[in-house]
Amino acid sequence: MKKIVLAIAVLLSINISSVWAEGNSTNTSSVRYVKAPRFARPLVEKWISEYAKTQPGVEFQIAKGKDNIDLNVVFDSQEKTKDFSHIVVYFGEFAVLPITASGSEAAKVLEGKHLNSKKLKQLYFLNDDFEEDVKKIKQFEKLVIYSGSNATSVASSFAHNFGEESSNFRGKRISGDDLFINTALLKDPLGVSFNALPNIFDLKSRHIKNDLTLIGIDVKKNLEKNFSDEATLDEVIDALENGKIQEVAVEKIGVS
Amino acid sequence: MKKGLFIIGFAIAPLLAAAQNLITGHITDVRTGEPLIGASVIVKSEKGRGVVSDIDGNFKLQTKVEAPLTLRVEFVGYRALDVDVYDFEEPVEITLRENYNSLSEVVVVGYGTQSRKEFTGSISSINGADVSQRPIQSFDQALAGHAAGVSLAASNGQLNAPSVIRIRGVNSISLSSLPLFVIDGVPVYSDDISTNSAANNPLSDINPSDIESIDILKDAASTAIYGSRAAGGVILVTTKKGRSGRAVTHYNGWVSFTNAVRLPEMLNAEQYTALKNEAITNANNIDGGNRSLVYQLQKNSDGSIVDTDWKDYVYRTGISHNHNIDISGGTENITYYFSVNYSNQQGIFQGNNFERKGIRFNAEDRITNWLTLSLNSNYSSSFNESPDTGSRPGSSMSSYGVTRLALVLPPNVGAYNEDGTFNVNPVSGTLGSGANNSSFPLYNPEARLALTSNTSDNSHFIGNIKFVLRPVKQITWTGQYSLDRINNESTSFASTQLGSGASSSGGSVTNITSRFINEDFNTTLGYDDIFGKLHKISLLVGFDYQHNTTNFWGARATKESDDFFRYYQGGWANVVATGNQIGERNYISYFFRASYTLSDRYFLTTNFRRDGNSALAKNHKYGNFGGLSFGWLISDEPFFKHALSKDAISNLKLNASWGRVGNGNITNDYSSFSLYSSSLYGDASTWDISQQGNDNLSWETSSQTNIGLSFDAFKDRLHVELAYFNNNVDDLILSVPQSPSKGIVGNSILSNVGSMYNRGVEFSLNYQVLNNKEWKWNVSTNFTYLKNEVTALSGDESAIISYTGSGSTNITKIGYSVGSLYGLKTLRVNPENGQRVFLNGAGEEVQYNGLGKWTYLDGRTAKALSGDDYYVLGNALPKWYGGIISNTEWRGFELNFSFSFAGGNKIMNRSKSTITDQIFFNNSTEVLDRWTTPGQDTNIPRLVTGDRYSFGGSVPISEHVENGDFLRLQNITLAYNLPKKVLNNVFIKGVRIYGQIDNAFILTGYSGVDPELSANGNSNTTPGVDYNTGGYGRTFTFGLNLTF
Amino acid sequence: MRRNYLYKYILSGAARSIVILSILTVIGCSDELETTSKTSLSSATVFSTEARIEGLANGLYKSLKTANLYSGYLILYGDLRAEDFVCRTENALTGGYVWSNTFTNTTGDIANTWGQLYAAVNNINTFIDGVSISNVISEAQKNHYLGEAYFLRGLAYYHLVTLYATPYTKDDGASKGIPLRLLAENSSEHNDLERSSVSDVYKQIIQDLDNAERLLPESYETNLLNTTRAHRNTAIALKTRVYLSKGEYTKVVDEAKKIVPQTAAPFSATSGVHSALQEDITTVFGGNYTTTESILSFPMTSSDTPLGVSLSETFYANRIDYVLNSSETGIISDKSWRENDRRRSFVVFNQNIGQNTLAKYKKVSPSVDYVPAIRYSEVLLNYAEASASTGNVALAVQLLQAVRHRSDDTYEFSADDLAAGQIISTIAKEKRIELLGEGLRANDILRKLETFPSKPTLSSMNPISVSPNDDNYIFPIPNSEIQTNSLINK
Repeated sequence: MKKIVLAIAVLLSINISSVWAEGNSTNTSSVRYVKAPRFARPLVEKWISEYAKTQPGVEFQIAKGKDNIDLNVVFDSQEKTKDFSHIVVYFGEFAVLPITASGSEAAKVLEGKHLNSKKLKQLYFLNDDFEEDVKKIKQFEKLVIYSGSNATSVASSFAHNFGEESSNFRGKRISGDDLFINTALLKDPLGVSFNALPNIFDLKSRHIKNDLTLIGIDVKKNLEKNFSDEATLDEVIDALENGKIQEVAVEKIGVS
Repeated sequence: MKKGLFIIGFAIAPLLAAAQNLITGHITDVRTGEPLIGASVIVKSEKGRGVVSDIDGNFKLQTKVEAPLTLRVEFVGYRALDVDVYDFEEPVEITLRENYNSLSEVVVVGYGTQSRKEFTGSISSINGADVSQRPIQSFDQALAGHAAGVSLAASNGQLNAPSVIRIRGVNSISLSSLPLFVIDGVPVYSDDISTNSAANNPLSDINPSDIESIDILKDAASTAIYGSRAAGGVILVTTKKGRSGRAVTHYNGWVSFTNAVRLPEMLNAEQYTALKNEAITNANNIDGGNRSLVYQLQKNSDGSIVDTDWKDYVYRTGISHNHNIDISGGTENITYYFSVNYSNQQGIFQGNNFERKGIRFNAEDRITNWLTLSLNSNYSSSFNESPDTGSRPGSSMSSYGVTRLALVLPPNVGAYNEDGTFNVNPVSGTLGSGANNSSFPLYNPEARLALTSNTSDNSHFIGNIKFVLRPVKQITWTGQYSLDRINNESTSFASTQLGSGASSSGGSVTNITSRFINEDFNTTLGYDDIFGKLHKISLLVGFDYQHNTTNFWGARATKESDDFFRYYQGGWANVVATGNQIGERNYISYFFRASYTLSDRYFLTTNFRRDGNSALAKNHKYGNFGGLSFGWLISDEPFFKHALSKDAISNLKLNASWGRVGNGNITNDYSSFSLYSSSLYGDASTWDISQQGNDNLSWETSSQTNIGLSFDAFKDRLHVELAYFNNNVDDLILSVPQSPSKGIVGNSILSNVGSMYNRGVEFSLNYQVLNNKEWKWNVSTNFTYLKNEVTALSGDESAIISYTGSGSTNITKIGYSVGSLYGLKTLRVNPENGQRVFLNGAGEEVQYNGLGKWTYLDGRTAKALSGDDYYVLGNALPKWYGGIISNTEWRGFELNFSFSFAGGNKIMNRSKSTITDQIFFNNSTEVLDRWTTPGQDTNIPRLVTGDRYSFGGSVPISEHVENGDFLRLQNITLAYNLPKKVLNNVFIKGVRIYGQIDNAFILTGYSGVDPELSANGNSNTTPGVDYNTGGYGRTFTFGLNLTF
Repeated sequence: MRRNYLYKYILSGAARSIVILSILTVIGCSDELETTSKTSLSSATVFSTEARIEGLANGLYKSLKTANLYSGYLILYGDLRAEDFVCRTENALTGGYVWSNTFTNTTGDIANTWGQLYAAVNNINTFIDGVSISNVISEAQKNHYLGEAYFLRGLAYYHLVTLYATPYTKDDGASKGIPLRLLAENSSEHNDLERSSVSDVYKQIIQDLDNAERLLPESYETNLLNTTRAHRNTAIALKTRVYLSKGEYTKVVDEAKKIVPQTAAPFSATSGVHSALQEDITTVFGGNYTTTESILSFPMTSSDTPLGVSLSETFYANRIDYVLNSSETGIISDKSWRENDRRRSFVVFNQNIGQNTLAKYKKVSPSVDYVPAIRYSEVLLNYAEASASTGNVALAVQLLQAVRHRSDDTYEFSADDLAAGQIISTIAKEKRIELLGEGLRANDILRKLETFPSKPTLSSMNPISVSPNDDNYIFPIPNSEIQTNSLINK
């Protein structure tokens, strides 16, 4: 009996590794792997194609799984806190918006709210002990914050925007790509989170994904529409490009 | 195809070990960013699958569960965290934040550990970091003010002086009140083992840097498991252990500078001669005598006046340094901790030195899942050296005691003659008289320092080996053998040269070697199980056998053949055996503990111990002790959860316990026997009664009740503990005074006769004032109020009078606290004649003329005051004490300080009688305010030579009884941790530099050197007496910690 | 398979634990807790052999040799209270309060002397009990040991009654004396005991000494034992002192006759140990401690040195706490004590301190001068005083001259000195000279109800003179006794 099991296992592993091998002719020195969170992949791909034009000798690919990583995607907030021995090349920007699952209990709680920085801070972060002057918002307490915990999560960008550390998030941690945050929100009706724009919007329809809803932020009247669920990705980007909005984290992204 | 595969995979997965997902991750502390070592990570839906993070905070976890899964990350002292893992591609970054929720802590209890939640007795825990970097000899010296209910202070400022430690008060009268020290399960020796003036507390052989934590058990329900030796409480010390992962190396080094503080200002040579002669003139005026004025200024050949400050010859700036290197690490199964330590310390007294070389090796091997072996071993070689400081018990009036010599020697003579030789009296070898027409019976400290030495060194091993066997999950069987062995050699030498104190005997040297062996074997069988989720049961039965032996032998040699010899091994004419002693004591104990937890909120623990002690009388050797304790986690009750927001109050827990422990810590191993010792009459051998025994000598028992309440508030930022305790001690073993005319040896017989109680409340609080990424500020305070009262002695009227030097300074009497101060009552100085007015036993005011004549205020002759006229002068035990500790961190900077305070007690400042005594002693400058003219209002009487009453020279007087209240800044530390950024890519992982001041200042109304000094060490019956006792120094320390 | 192995292991582990536990339980039940001293004997076995009883007998003497007794202080106190010595140092702890007569009932000297004398008494009483029932020694040995015990108890009580009680001569012993402890004490019982009257105490002393005289051997085999253990003549010699203290001169004469049978020099005992004066007194101090002149001395050897401070250190060697009184009140200023008197060699001028010191005890490191308790010359002088008091002046003169001429053979007492009305004070002066520093002076003052005179001081100690009606005429009952014996002041 045991022998048979083993035999199957060996077969399986051969199968799997051969599958991997197809897209993974690693050791040809011309290919360089870039590790990137999913939301950034379109950008990175764009960068790779641009790069290929100027340096045809080197071929970049987006790393999958446990490839030998040559380059990492970094955000500029990370550069400020961590020590990079390598040079960072920035090639774009990304923005992070607060979200929740549409139609969820959390969405109802937050419906019609226009949260300013202070309130967002209260919602997302463990209360800093000395800012007791801020009146507690009771309703917020039952909400569960989901935040990414990986190195490439936008959690740190979101936190830094509020002068916080990603470790100060309330609630639960998600490990894995930030795309899974959406999954987590769908499972928990009280879940609240944030994500990078490419993970919030359907890149094809340019509209917000069906199952998500943006949490209202405190922006000038004329911009309110730009940050509503009806807004398209382009409208959001447009608004962000026209001026700094306190509540939205916008960060440079690059490779290093 | 895919589907098919999936189905196959599903079917075989449970059997397939290889088909697993690998999760990697990294765990760090939120605030510091430091990797957390030893945090446990489990997959929530998968039972029994867990790993521990390694030295770099990394972990690797194989799981069969597919994503998404939830990881549970737990680490002692941190909030547990759940992390949902959606894919395994990238390492999981986990940051944990510290948790001040006290209930999750693990506390060390007798023969095991318990979570604070389940613990139902009374305990205080102290982190090893609080002791590891202090300029101390033994760890106990750093505990002052750190734990509620624990009063602690070094008895004096001599290096390695044993601390006076009282856990919830004085728990005995005749027996030791010291707690039992248990280091990694090994009961060890404490208190002074030296046989000469070099203090030697063997606890100093434990390197303070090796200590991980200290837990102090305070109530009987917790200590009963230690039975007979636990009446003074139990201090459990846990040393550091290795952790899985890459080896880490620490270096910790400090250098310190210590100076004497608060020394009194003494008269200079001119003031001295003037005042001493004034006292003689006054005497002549009183009785018409014609005493000559004996005090003269002495001039050097250059015409200058000899004016000596003897403090310069006694005190110095003590420079000390200490180095510690430890290496720890391990694999998944084997962990180790290895350290070496070197300490070289100088006291504030010239010639007072301490040196320790220590090595420790701790290891643990998880041989299999069900068998673990662990080993702890510590070897130290330590060296103590000290002149007679007059600070050790019984030496207050020593004519060599340098604390007294520094003050009272006449300033108008020098330490040296002009030719460079020591100024000593050519007849007696005491201090030379100079131009004074008088001879001084005290010694020249400078000569003594050069011509004598006292050393005590230890070769000390403490170690144990232990196995833990868990054949099935519910059963744990442990066995432990431990050994504490000290070989001590105490030597004292005094030269044949004049000034050594031994010149008349031709010099002398005394070597006494002593061996202390304490072996302990214990085994326990434990059963832990949970039934139906609600019922948790934990049972423990055990056996403990202890074998103690002491063996002293020595010799005293006199008359050296040449003054070259400083050692016994040199040439000496006469050798006499001295210090011989053999003792043996065994303890045999059976114990049992059962804990029951219901619904995780009701906790019940009971324990029982049957203890046999060979030192007690036949048929009284065994005693039964035990306790019952109950805990209720009120905040977990549904009604409570509804009633209050969790943020307001949480972890509200009520603990109540009652227990009975015994005390059989009789000093003498054979106290119950009537013994005859052999000696010589001329050359004939003799037998003499040396001890009057008692066939009925049995246990002291103390019944202790403890009621405690603890809770957290403001989201666990505030932690509060309150406790009430009542400790009734009965059958006190007292040296019952026998009328001296009975001729019983020592005029006393040990008997179980007395009773007393200690009642009080304890309060401790810990508040996290700030805790964010830049600032962390934690303040804690503890406070204890305690009342001690003796309720029974051998008879209603009987009292135990106790002595300091030759004066009866304390009394233990029904209705008063143990060792209350005792002496003559003084009222004032009569402004008319400058005589001290006393209250005699009959309540009448009488005055003393300084020359042996007592009169009533109207001039009628009165009876001379005697022992019949003594009054109880005050309670000598602090009624309240505690500490305030603050730790602040800001961007790598740390500012920590700890205060200790105590009060409600009186201190007998006998040192004051020394420095105002009207014999040849130099006086402090306060004597300048002496009475000189009628009508003058002062508290210093007219000076009359030879007056031993008015200034308390020969009798304790209430004038010198002062309030003992004080607040001391024990320690203030400023440290800086170099940022990681700076250290990046350097092989050093961490650098901490610090500076600290110990005994920075003290606020007190007490006019003596220090209100915490104890002239009588740990004696229960003579507390609160400061009599020529050396004070504590103030120490400045600079240190460096490196982590590799 | 693995499972099987595990079970096996558990079983073997369990079996082993049971074995170990049961071994330990056996240990527990055995004698592990019955530890006994390896350096001392228990009271149960100490009377079990002849040799041990001999050791116990020696122990009785030893218990009178403690620091405050015959190691030297008892001698010291007798001299210091009077006028012949002056305290030189500031050290009040070596008898300073006794010297200045300013002691109280808490003074260490007062309490320690009391305690140590009674400790000796209890040792003796315990010994008497043990020996009386012993079956390991012969009847003769038993009597011998009992004789020694009675003698030593008499000696101890004599010191107690003379130090702590009103002199017998004041009121024929009617005053309260001291508690008379005659039973062995070994428990917490019997703390309370009233003081017996002075006359009852003397009655007991004399009874003990009479018994001793009856039971003690006439002599021992060696000179050492004849000096350091009591024999029949020792008891008789002590009785001359005891009766003198009572003022019963005829009894003194009766006793003295037994060991001083002659009526003219040379005097010596003719039965028992042939006690006699030595030709040169200096032989007795430092030459040979075991001559027949030393009726009882306490031996000192290098391995049994004085406890506390030795007499040599106190008077002569390095400490010299007390020097001789050089003023006219001191005996060394007495004109009749001539320079050629051999006893003058005991007066040594110390250049360093510029004072005269007593050089009877000179041995230091180790201090092995024997401490004299009874000397034959004392017996002669006791006899002389008693003879003079009972009218036999001629014999008194013979006895007095025997003592004087031994040291100053050419000295002739003047007729006045020897006149009936004067001879007693001449004898008293001779006693001061002959027995200087041997601890007898205070007793002579007390029994004659004289005043302790004042004396000069060399330190800040202020001595006072005390007369028979002053508080400090005798030592007070120690405070420690008052605290524990509720009947003491009844």
